[in-house]
Amino acid sequence: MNNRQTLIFLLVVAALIGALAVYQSLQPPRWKGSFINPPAPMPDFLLQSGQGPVRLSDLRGKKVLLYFGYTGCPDVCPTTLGVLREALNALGSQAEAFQVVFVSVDPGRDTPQLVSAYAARFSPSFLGVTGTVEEIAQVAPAFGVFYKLNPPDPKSGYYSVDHSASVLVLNEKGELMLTWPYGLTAPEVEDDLRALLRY
Amino acid sequence: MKNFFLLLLVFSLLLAGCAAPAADAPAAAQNGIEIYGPWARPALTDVSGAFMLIKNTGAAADNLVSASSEVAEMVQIHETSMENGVMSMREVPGIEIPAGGEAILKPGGYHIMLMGLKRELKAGESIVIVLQFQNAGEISLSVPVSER
Repeated sequence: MNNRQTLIFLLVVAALIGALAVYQSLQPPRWKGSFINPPAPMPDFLLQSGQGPVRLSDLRGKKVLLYFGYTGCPDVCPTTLGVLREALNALGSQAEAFQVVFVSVDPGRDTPQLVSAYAARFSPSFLGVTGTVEEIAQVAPAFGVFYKLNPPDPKSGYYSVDHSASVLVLNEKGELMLTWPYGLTAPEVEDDLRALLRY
Repeated sequence: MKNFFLLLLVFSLLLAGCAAPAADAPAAAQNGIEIYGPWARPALTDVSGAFMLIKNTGAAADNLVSASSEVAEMVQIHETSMENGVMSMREVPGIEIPAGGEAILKPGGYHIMLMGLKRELKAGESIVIVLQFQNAGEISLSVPVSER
């Protein structure tokens, strides 16, 4: 091939790639989580972080990635928060469109200071909040989150907490628009985050 | 110049040759039980979990029946299960490792639960966990603490 032919060939390839990119961007995203259409209005909450009160509605304007768990959870909670961190890191500065909020459903053990420090260990931008036993008993079910404190181990006194393991994605108006089940990989969550940037 | 590249190729092959078996080597092995890739989570609170792959190269099934560690008041074997999107975690009496088979301890499944940690576990350090098997006996294991 001479230079001219090479150039034409490359132009054709570039045009095809461009056309494919345009076509794909016009397609509705293939969500890895469950997309909720129309988005469901969610209540507000006022809970405490180690740095002071956090009102969910104060975060309007960002998409909130809301996760309920407890710091004594060695398994599913850190995995989920780690996946969120990795997926958000991959977005670079676009990650600023999102705010992760970790709510402890175990205020008996988790003080606001502890929850905040726990969340910040994953990323300094992650918020960690909790409330009184009564407040949590009100907030969690209002977001469709189930939790149950198990009886303490007779020897150690440790108790585990059963809890819904999905991440809730709220849009800029605080409405529920997507949920992620436990077990998605960081690249899968990243795909959804990129799609969410266009909503 | 050609020789240089040849030399480079030989070196990289040598390097790959050295690295490959190291990655595959068990972290501990005894009486047919082999432990691979153990790791424990850094802990801010007084609990953490440890994960690993346990292989049984023996002709008989074996059971991981208990565990202990110098860094924790109490160590249990736990199983995480998911039902209708709700995560729960329970102590189990043991984990069977079938003859010629393996048991995987990973997030969302089995883990070694460290409770009542006597100190903070920091990424980069290693802790010692002692596993008790029904047949293979006691296996002491150095477990790196890392964010996976």
